[in-house]
Amino acid sequence: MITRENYTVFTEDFIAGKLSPEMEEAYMAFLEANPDLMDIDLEESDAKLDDGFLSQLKKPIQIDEQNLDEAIIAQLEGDLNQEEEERLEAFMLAHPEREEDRKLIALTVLRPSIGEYFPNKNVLYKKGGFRIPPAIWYSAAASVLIAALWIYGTGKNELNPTEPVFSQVETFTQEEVKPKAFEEIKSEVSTTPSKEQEANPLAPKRVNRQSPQRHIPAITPEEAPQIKRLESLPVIMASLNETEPSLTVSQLQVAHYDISFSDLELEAEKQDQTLLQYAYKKLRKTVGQDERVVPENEIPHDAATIVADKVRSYVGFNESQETVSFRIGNFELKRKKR
Amino acid sequence: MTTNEYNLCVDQFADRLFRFLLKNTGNEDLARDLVQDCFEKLWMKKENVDFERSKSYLFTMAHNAMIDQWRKDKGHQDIADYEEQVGYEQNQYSGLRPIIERALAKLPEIQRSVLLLRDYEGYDYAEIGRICELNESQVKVYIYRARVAMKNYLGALNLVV
Repeated sequence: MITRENYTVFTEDFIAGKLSPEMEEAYMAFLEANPDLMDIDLEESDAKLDDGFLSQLKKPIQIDEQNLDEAIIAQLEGDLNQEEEERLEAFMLAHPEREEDRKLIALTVLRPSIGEYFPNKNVLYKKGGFRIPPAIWYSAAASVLIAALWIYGTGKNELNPTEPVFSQVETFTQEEVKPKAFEEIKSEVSTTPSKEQEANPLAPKRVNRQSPQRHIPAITPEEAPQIKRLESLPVIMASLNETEPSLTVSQLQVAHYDISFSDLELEAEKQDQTLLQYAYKKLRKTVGQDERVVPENEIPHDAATIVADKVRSYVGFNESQETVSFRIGNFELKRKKR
Repeated sequence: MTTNEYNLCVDQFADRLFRFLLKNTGNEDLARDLVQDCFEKLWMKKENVDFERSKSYLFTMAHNAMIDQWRKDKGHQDIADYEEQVGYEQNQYSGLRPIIERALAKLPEIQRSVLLLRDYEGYDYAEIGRICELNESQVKVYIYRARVAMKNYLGALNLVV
């Protein structure tokens, strides 16, 4: 007789295949009559073994000729406890010929290459503010079209009131009408290309200004070669983050990031400057003409951000016991280690 | 996540995601496209993704995108061959780097992925497991196997260390 008190014995026999067909049938009937016994969801269970118990179950890492790689990798990954660390070091002292293994394994720790960076972050940035969904543009276009047709129809009806409106409306195919409606909408928000842009499509885009009298600062002949030089410098990959010196300069941007990229674009645009010109002028204003070490707190945050992102000029990364620094163009940014 | 936070993600993670994808796919154009896709998805989901979780979200999407790519392109070019063909330009840093890159490229995809997440991004086993849908023990085993394979590859070249 299978009961709730003894069913575990039958369960073991069932799993081991030791039950006779009759007993098996009886066992299944018992489970059907006691469904709560099968209702143990292991995934949902909160039962958990404590760490002390688990560590008792674990076997210490073998440190011998055969298992040395595993031990060295475990050390590299920080998985060895104090006692295992000591055993490994003792083994290495006794087997100096195996130091080469340790060096080879150390080489497998990958370090990001400073030459690899995402080449065009501009395509990823988003501007803030309200965005009109395409559906609304389509609705607007449709409304304009309907209104135009209605006005057109009404006008004709006034001329000949005896004819019904819709019979007087000239019919348009979708191809004929829709582009016209879109053009009407677009013309309200579009910008006209400048002469410079017409001549050179790659020239920076300029927005039509309402006040042509506004002063537009130009790049001085003295500044032009500097900007040209900065633009021609190779990729910058350096960081003030002393724990990971080979990270990208984006890390620096984080430190300085108190203004959004799109705000800067707008600011530069307002002054009819490219981002680079804007950033360069801001830096130059702060730093003056001489090359010198610029304390971090003297760098204009937005300018540092933009120069770092746009110019990407790697000159050098330096690290001493107390400071880390790197150079962008003529400017050296320096920070005390934490 | 606000627009500013999203743009901060671009600053912080675009390069790292790109390196991760480049090393895994061996194809710069593809890596670039995938970075763009990942950020587009993040932007679409920005209402639901906290800034604090954005890095993990991006790397998870990148990993999944790679898996999809591998499945789509079963006969994909061996990355090691690719790197040998195009000649990876890393010589300015160390003569060893191209060899290490090649050793990395020869690893099975999943091992390469977990190793890059571990070494480039400093993720712990649990985080890597979440990104790659593995348990911690599997992550540990893959990292171990990857390092042993790389070590054997480097050792076979009789590198003077």
